[in-house]
Amino acid sequence: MNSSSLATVDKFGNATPRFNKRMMGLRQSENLQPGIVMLLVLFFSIYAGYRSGDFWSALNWQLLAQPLAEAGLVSLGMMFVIASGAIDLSAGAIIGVAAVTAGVAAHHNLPVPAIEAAALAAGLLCGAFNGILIGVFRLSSILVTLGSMILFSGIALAISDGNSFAGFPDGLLWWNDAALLGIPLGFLLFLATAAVAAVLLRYTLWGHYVIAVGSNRVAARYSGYPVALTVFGVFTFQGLLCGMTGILLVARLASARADLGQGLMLMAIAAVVLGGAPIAGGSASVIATLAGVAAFYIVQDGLLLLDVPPFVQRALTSVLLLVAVAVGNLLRGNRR
Amino acid sequence: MKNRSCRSFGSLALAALLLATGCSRLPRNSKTLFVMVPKLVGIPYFNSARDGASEEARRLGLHFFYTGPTAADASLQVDVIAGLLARHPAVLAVSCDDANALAPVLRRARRYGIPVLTWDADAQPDARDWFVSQVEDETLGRHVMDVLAEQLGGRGQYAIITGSLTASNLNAWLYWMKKQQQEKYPDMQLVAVVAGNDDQQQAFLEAQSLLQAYPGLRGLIGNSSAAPPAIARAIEQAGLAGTIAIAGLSTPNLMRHYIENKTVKTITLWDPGKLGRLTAAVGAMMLRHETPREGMDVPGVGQIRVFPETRKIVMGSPLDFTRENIGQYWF
Repeated sequence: MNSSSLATVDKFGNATPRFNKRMMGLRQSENLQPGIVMLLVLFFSIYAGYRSGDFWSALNWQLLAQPLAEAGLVSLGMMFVIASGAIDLSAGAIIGVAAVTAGVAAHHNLPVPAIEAAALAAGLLCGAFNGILIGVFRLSSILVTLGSMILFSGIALAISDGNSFAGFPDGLLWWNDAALLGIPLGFLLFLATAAVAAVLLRYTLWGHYVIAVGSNRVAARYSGYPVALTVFGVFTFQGLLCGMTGILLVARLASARADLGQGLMLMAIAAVVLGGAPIAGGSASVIATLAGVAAFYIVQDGLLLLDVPPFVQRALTSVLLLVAVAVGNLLRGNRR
Repeated sequence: MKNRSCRSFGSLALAALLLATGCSRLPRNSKTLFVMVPKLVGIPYFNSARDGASEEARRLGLHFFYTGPTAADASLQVDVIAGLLARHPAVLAVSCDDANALAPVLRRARRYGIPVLTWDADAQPDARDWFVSQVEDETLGRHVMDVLAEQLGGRGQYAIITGSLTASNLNAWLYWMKKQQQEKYPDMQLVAVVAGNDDQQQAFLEAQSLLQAYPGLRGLIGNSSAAPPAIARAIEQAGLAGTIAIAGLSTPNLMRHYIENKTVKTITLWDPGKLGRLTAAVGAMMLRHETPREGMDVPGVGQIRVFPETRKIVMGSPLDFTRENIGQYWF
C-alpha cells in the first residue's frame, strides 16, 4: 500500500480516481480507528439516551467529566510513552505518591499552592527516576516501570502507613466544585493540557523526536537524535501529568491514599490503544487518545444507567475495545 | 477485502438496530428507588446482604437496585456512585471502602436531597444521615481477641493477617484487638501484622512464612474473611493442626471444612443477610420520614440499638460460628 494513486487505478476500475484516493487515504489514516470508536460511542449514546431518561441530563455529563479528566491526563502522558516505543506500568503508583505527598503537605498546614507544587514535584521526580533508568541507562521500560511501580507504591504506603489522609484545606477541594459555565474546572484543565500536548507532539522538535525514537530507536540514534534526553522527557512529562491527576483525585475524594491511582494505569494504556495507536510506538494522536478515554467512560456510565450488572459492564466495555481494534485492523487491511 | 469490511459494517448496523428496537424504555421510578452499593460485587458476603435487602425492600414496596465496583477500590466506588446520582435515587445506601474518600460524593448526594445511609462500613459522619452498623468496632475487636486468648490461656506469641492495610474498618478492628490484648492479656505478644490483600493465596503464603519465621507462634488471627481459611490450610499442611489456635473474622462457607474437621474451633462474624434486611428497613423509614428509635423491633432482625447523637444504628452483637451452629448459615 505504498502508492495510493497506483492502487486507485489498479484495484477499483469503475469508481472515480479522486473518490478512491480519498477512500484509500481514510483507510490508511490514523483517524480511522478513533473514527470507528466515536461512531460506536455515538450509536451507544443514542441507544442509552433512548432507554434511560437520565443519560442526556446535564448532571450526568458533569459527573462523568470529572473522572474522565483524571483518566484523560494519565492517558495523554501514556500516549507519549507508548509513542516513544515504551510502556509505563508505574503511572498508577506515581499518582499514589503524588496524592500521599499532597496529604503530608496538607498535614503540615502548608498553603494550597505549596501543596499542589509538592504533589507535582513528587510526580515529576518519580517520572524523572523512570526516565533516567530507561533513557540514560537504556534499560527496558517494562522491567524498570514494573520495579518502580512496586517501589513507588511501597514508598506511598510507607509514608501514609496505609491510612488515608483527610482534612485538606478548602482551597484544594475547590478543584472539585469549581465550574465554568457548568463545566467542571478539572475537565477544562484536561482540555487545556490536551491542547498543549497536541502542540508539543506536532509542532516541537521534541514531539518529532518522540515519534522517531518510537519508530526506530536505533535509526534515531544513528541519525544523531538525542534519544536519551527524549525518553527522559517523555517519562518526566508523564510523571508531571500523574501529579496533576493526583491533585484532581485528592480534590474529588477529599482524601489521599497510596492506592488512589490503581485502576488508572491499565485504563490509560487501554484508552491509547483504543484510539488506534500502535502499541509498538511510532505514532500518536491527541484526538484519538481523547476518543479512546471518553469512549470508556461514556460506555461505562451508560451501562450503569441501563441497569447492566457490573461484571457484564466490564465484559461489554472490553468488547468495545476488541471490536474497535478488530474493525480498525480489518478496514486497514492489516492482516500480519 | 472490500466485501469483508462491508459485511462487518452491515452486521454492526444490524446489531445497533436490534438493540434499539428490541428493548423498551426503562421506567423512571426514582420516587421509590432504593439503591444499595457494596464495597465490591460478586462475593458471597455482599451477595447475602443483597438477598436480605432485596427481599425486605420488595416487601416494603421499594424498587431495589444493587450495583457496585468489581474490585474493592475507593475511587472506582466513587465513580459508580457519581454515575448513580444522575438517576436521583430515593435512598442511597453505601458500604464505604474508605471513610474519607467516599465522603465528598455522599455529601453531594445529600446536597441533591437524596437521603444517604452507610451500612457495613461507615463514611465521615457528616456525609451520611444514618450508619447501619453490624456491631461496634470496639465490641468486635475485643471479642475476637477474647476468642483467641481463651484458646491460648492468655499466654504466648500471636500474629495477625489482615486484608489490605488501607481498609479503614479492618484497621479499626485491628486497633481494638491490639488494645484488648495490651489491657487484658499482658502475657501475650504480638509478633507481626501482615496483609493478605483479601486474597486467599496471598494470605496462605503469608501464613506459611509466619509459621517458618516464628517457631514459637501459638496463635493466628485472620482479620479479613479471606485470611482465616488460608491460615487454617497453612496450619493443616504444616501438620500443626490442634497446636496453633486460630481466631478471626470469616464466613461460614469459607470455614465450614476447617470447623468440621476441628482445625478451627470458633470463627466470628455477623449475619450479612440480616444487615441487608435492616438497611432496607431503615431506607423505607427514610422515605416515610420516620426516625429510628432505640429498642425498635425490626422484622427478621430483632431489637436494634440506636445512638441518635452519632446517628448510628447497631444491629447486635457478634456471632460465633462453631461446630454446633455452623449448619444453620450459608454465606
